[in-house]
Amino acid sequence: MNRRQTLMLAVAGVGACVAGALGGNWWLTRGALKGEEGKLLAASFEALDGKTTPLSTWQGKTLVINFWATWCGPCREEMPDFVKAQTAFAAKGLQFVGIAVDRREPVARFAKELGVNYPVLLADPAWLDAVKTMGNPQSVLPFTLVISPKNEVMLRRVGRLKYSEIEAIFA
Amino acid sequence: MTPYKNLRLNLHPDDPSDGASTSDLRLTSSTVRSMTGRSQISAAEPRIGVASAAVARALRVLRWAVLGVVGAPMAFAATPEPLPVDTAFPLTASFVDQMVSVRIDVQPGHYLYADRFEVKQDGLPAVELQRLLRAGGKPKQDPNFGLVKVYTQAVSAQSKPKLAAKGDAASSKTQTQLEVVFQGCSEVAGICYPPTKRLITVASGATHVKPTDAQAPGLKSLFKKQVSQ
Repeated sequence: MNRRQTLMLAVAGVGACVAGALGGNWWLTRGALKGEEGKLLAASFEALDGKTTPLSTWQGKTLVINFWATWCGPCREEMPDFVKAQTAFAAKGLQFVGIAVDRREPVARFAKELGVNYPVLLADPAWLDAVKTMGNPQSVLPFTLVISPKNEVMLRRVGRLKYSEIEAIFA
Repeated sequence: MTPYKNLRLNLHPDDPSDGASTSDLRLTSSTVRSMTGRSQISAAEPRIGVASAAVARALRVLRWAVLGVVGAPMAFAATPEPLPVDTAFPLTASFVDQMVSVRIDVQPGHYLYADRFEVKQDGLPAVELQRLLRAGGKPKQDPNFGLVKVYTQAVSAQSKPKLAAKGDAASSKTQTQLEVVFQGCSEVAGICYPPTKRLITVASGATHVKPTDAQAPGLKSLFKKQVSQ
């Protein structure tokens, strides 16, 4: 085996490793809606004003569904970025929806303090069990799903979602 | 002169001297940066002159491969998967000489809020155990909740209920059941666990008994309580 063949083989090997790693990541983070995610998009939640609001209200948008709670510090920390992104990318079809697994009073208070500029809905804690099959097996918060206008999961994020990642969706 | 004379392996996408051919690489670097939270990826910048189209293509692939091999593990390593709550905060109890002991370990990079402990014994508030668990912890200036007390290492408390000292039937219990509610977060994963309730049935004389309910018995009842600020 000459030097050129050795180089080509090494390149092929490395390429296969990279393809495997990136492909695995893609497989884990993308995919058409199914199971609990389908139920989620078909579900309705109570808004802070008491009105029942179906998530289908925002069908056709790039929907960022953020599960959070006021008792969750990391959730509170990422929300200013969401407010900023909602302003910056609303014209491009971005729609945040916060789903608070929490009580109404602290949620309303915090949303007002922060100046949240997107809908905040209240969820029954049973949804924390439901998110286990959406890519959040430990039912932790924050947890965010990005759904495309074609109802495909563009991103699943357990933990903080950065502004740069939201920005990259519309780049 | 071949058209590939100036071809080079560029791993400094932010260096403007690298020219227009780096736009694709800049995208990759940006993606890696967004995934890893790192502000810069640096590596050696070998300059390799090549003579054939095949080797040039191979080097182009290699350039991407090196970025992938370096960047992908960094991306995966940047946000570790959250541990199961029973692994992050293993809970055990003991019941010896009518003395009840509770212990919760805390994995590195995790913490428990002291003021969110709730304890019941045989269906009744275990006032002393709960008081002891809430009394400890070290102060933490939380950007969201102000000054709070948290446990970053194991916490334990023990108590002998007054009822057991009276010499009545309760003093000779053959077992007792504890209900412990706790809430904590993982700094390393950047997440918080919801309030978690665990039941432990401990026979008299038993030590280091684990909860009988590996899965949460249902989160709904916990949220009826005041867990928010």
